[in-house]
Amino acid sequence: MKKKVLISDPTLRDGNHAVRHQLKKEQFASYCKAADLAGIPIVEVGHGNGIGASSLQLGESACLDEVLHQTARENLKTSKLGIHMIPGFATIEKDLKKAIEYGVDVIRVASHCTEADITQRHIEFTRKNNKTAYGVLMMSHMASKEILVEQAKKMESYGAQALIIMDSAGFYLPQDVSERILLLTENLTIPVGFHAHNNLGMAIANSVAALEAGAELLDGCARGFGAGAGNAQLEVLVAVLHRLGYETGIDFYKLLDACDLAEKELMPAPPTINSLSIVSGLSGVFSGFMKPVSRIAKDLNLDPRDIFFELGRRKIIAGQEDYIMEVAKDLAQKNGKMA
Amino acid sequence: MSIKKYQFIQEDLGKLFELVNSKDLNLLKGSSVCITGCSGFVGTWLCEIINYLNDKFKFETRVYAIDREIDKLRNTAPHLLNAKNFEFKKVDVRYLSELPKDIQFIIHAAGTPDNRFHELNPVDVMTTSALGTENILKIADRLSDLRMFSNFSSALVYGNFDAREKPIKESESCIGNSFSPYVAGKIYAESLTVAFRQQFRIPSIIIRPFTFVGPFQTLTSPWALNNFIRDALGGSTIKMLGSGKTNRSFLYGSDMAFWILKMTLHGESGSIYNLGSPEAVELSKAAKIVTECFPQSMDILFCAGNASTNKNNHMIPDNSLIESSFSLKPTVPTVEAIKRSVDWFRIESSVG
Amino acid sequence: MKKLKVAIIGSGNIGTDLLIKVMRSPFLECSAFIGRNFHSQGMQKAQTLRVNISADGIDYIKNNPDCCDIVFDATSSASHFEHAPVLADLGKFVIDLTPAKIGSMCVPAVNLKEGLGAKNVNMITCGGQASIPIAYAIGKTQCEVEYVEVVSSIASKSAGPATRINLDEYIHTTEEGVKSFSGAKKTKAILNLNPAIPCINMQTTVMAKVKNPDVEKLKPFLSEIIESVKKYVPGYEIIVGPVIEDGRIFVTARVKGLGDYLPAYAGNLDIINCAAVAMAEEYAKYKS
Repeated sequence: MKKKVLISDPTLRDGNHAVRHQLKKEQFASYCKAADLAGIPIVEVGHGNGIGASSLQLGESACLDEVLHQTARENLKTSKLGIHMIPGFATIEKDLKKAIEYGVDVIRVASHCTEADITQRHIEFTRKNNKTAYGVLMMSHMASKEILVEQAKKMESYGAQALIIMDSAGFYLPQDVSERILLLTENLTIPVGFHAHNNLGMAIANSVAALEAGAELLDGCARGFGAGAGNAQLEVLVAVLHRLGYETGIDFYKLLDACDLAEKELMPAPPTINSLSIVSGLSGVFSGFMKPVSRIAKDLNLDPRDIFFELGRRKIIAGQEDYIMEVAKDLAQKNGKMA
Repeated sequence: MSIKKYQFIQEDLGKLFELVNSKDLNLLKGSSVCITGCSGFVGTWLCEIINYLNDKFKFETRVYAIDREIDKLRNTAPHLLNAKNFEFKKVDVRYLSELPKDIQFIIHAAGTPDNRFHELNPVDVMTTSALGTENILKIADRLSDLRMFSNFSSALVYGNFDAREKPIKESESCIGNSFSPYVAGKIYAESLTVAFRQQFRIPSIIIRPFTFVGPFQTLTSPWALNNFIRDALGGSTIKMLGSGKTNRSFLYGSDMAFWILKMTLHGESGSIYNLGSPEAVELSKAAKIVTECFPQSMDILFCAGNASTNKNNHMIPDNSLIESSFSLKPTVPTVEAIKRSVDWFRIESSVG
Repeated sequence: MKKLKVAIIGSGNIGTDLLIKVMRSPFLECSAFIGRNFHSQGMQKAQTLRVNISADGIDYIKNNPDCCDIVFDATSSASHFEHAPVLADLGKFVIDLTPAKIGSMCVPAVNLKEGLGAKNVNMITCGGQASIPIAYAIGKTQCEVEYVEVVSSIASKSAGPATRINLDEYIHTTEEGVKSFSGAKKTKAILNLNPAIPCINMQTTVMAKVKNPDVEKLKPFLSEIIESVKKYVPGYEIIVGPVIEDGRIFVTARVKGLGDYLPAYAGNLDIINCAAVAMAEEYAKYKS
């Protein structure tokens, strides 16, 4: 019997980080069509930080959530429509209810890796409305594997139907991933998944390690289009998976076409691992901070690399972009560049 | 405490810090530590080592030491009661209501492993573990800058060591059918510590002590080695219960104190750490080492019933986790640990 | 001056912290510290402070209606729904510290006097207390406030189960409060829980989109209102701004808790208690 793996494609969500959440309706329609044709099981769309995240703190979307959901829904006939949601940014009343009305199928409720208990009501609400709920632990390198298991078990008890850990900073090496996924699969009854970032060039290797340790879901983006140095490059990942004997249900040629389209229409250029990405990976800071850090560093005449290391030292987590200003200010004062 | 005994401890600690680096404990500098059960074996050693660090390395660590039997210290280590930066409070941890706001580390070692006491006062034993631990965790929750809560448990939570042949890892357990009140209380305290960590996010570790040897033990305590030493000092034959094939390891007090501090300062919240020497010694060999401390030849008398001849109780920690996490290895080898202990008890019995 | 009598229902950490603040107040006196069992650490603390304690819950006030004029309710949402009508009948001035929030919103630096007109006031949310003085200043000095966003970060350890299960309500209530006090067309509130040890202090950033932002006009008004906040929240401090960052007004405030009974990093809990006591003191002054 062939081994199966469920692929979820957040090109239109994680990729949005790379363009400051400015992907337009037409781009959504275009890629969704191509992804649907290729048979990608789940297509995830939205602001980089999920529904309801459009804000000054995290960046404002070019499109309203409703518009994105409607557009995506119209263009996904067989693929499932997925969204990402972080309690503390989005609420059931304002955001989740509407998303469900617009026909979203899969809701990935995410929290920082030690705060799973904020997802209880949202996972329960999703299940009550007969939609698929996945639990997601972000910045998972910031907790030990035992703590990850404790947190994952909470999400499982709330009704999550799968548990995905994210390497939001692109910090992991394959061994780190194997240990974590192994312990999670040993202790959970629901399937476990992995979401890679490529800051240290390890996204594909990490994803394969996750699979070999028992993961059943993997995330990948066309050309790796995503925050920071990007994600596991979807078409490369699928190629490797097929070669390893895994069934993905994806039509390979049509996938390549979709990714060619993505490169042409979605991104100014495919992601690369530049100096800042390496630094953010090493310092364990959320990849999504790249743009605000660059901008503030430029404004205040500072080295963005210093800002990253300091953010890492202070253990600043995703969502705390406002700390970048404070850290930058402190550094500037230290350098004596500010009055 | 006589000058001789005071110097004995200073010698032990001096030797320790020739072999380990006091810098490993730098997080203690200028900080505030609470030790519960300060007048027991573990508590006294912890106070001594911190006092030494303050004296010799200018650590300026403040210690808030509590015990319901503080007066014991007048006999065992009176110089501590006057030590700079030390505050002692006579209170039962079950009824403690507050701690100084600046406490950053709590080492909760209240309770006694002495099973004579367990037989006599099982309710007291269990409630100390249950209510005492709950009480101090509630107080810990209100501290402004708590870095670590170390719960001092017991290796006996692993269960029955009779069927074991190899050292035991923190992640394992030996199946046991019934637990003594002491062990039940300790298991509860461990679970409660985990619960407080999960619900109230109190940074905490669990330390599972094995067997120790050295100053501040009581010769009359019902441990095998203490019995051997007591018998030998009394000039009589050493009586061995059992076949002598039971394995124990013996971690010396100074090493124990250093390891506890290192785990508390650098441990990862949520972890469990074995605390004991990895060097397994058969009790018959331990008894022999004791006899070697005496000029006259001594006999060892095996007084086992039929039931115990084949029991091979192997209570030894697997230290791979603490070695990889903290690079902890005993500085006092087993033979020296036992011999040094005999020297201590010699001084103690002559001084009275 | 004669002190006004206050009862505190709820002997948990919040209630006990309130007690210590009340005892420090020149205008208030705690005549009853009420809980449900005498064994809680809060009750023990009250006893050492020689305060009158009771384990009878709301019944104590029912049976001793003259014991107090003001009641702080630091119990739970469900309990407050039960207490509120009883206390209303007895004509008490109620300060609600639970998530129930059925009464009027109050931020002492902004609408202290209006609070006096109500019979039941609440302190909105911690993010609300920290941000509304700033949002109010923006509303008063800038033309056309289109949008105000409030981002708060608190120590994970200071967010208990009640906060976590009511995260959505926290966001909605804060947004409503900020909107009401700033006149903004649209508002958004975000809450981050950060698990770092040592625990972080509460930090709130206010960002505003206004037409032709004028920081120079904002500064004096903001300084003045921050001075009034500091009178009842000594640990409140502006640490960044006001500046224009990426075309929007950007101000960050940090709140260090007093550490009376709650840990010092729990500035989010402390600001609510400080505000509650400030409200009570104003009522006491008004009554005298």
